[in-house]
Amino acid sequence: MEFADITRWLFRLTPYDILLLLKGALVTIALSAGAIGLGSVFGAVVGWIRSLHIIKRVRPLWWLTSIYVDTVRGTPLLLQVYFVYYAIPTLTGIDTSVFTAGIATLALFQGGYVSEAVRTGLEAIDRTQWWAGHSMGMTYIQTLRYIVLPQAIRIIIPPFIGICLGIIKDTSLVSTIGFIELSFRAKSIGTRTLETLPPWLFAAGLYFVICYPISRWSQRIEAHLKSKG
Amino acid sequence: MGYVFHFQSIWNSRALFLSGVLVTLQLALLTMLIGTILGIIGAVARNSQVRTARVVSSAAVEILRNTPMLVQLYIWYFGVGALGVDVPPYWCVVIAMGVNNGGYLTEIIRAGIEAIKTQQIKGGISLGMSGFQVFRYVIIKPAIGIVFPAVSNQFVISLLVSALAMIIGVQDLTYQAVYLQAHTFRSIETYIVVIIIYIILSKAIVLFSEYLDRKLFKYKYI
Repeated sequence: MEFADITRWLFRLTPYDILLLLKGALVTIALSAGAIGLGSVFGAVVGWIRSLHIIKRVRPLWWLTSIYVDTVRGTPLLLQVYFVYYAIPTLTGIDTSVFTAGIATLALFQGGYVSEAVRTGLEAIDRTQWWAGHSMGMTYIQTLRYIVLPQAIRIIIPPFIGICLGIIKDTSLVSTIGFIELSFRAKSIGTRTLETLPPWLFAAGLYFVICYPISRWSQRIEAHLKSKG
Repeated sequence: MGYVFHFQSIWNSRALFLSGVLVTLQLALLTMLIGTILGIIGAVARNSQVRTARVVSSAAVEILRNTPMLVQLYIWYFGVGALGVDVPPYWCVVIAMGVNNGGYLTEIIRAGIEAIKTQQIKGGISLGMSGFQVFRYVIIKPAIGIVFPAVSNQFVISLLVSALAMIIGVQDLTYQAVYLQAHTFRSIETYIVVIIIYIILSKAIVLFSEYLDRKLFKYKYI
């Protein structure tokens, strides 16, 4: 094939197909934003609980959170998606839609990884910092807010952005249960037109356009945090 | 919650699970092997004097790291088909995941190489080592030793990513789980068993990596 033929073949997508893919990309962005928002809040709470010293003495609570974190971090996301979508309704009788199952799985996945980032960040701060805060008459919340968190946040941010980038790419997995986002659109266009490669290449380009700025931005932030010290 | 658990049908199909585990482990190991080789090549190209090598390496790494594995898998699968080459799905998965893993390992190994000081390399040269010997014993081995925790983490990730192989029909552990739950209607039992197997496998990889770390890089523990 000539080069011109290849490009013509690659851009064989009709404007309508491209519109569908762009709409899919919007859904992917919205889905990632929802999953990151819900998952980060949940993960931050779990990570904070797991960083408390009391928690390691209340064994059942430690085990419960450990089971959650180890399951999320030790099994493939694809399996988790299938589990939430196919197994949970049978177990509980709650009829989950694709939308709820997709967002819930991604948020739980994000939460598991964020909780570990938050926990390691909080545990990296020396205990003497807590003592200093308390001896100055600060309450627990004040010490956390003004002394520990400002230091911990600089440790947490780089892995956190990495986790968010991961979740944007992993939203493609919920297309396997029928969530209509970018990958699902690419797949259905491929099935309809029997030209499977062009829509996937276009989708890859869109994912790249979403993820690349964030990854560059995270590199800049990391360098900034490092230079400060 | 009136659900009655029934594990008999799962136990009856233990052979399926075993074959799935073997395929999953094979995929993870091959992915790591290809990934490490490509990672070393990519990291060396990233630091090379040749501008083209640097540009190609960093562009490839950015593309591999900023697009989903699922999309890459489909592009390899359909792309190889469009070129008219007949590659079985299993090898397609191995190539796609190996190359993807190579992108991540390039960044990891590069960080290790950059941590090696020039004096160390000069020390190797002054001991009369040849260029390849310096590369092997003074650059690559200590560099991988420095970043070994990140490499073993990548090993766990490649185990988890290998579940995507089922999408194009490779019969790994997740494939067997989906197959079995569709045949027995025992979806919860199947998934619970498979989740436990995956957790055991990933813990085993962590332990194996720690063993390997102590064995290969003894000097770190003196």
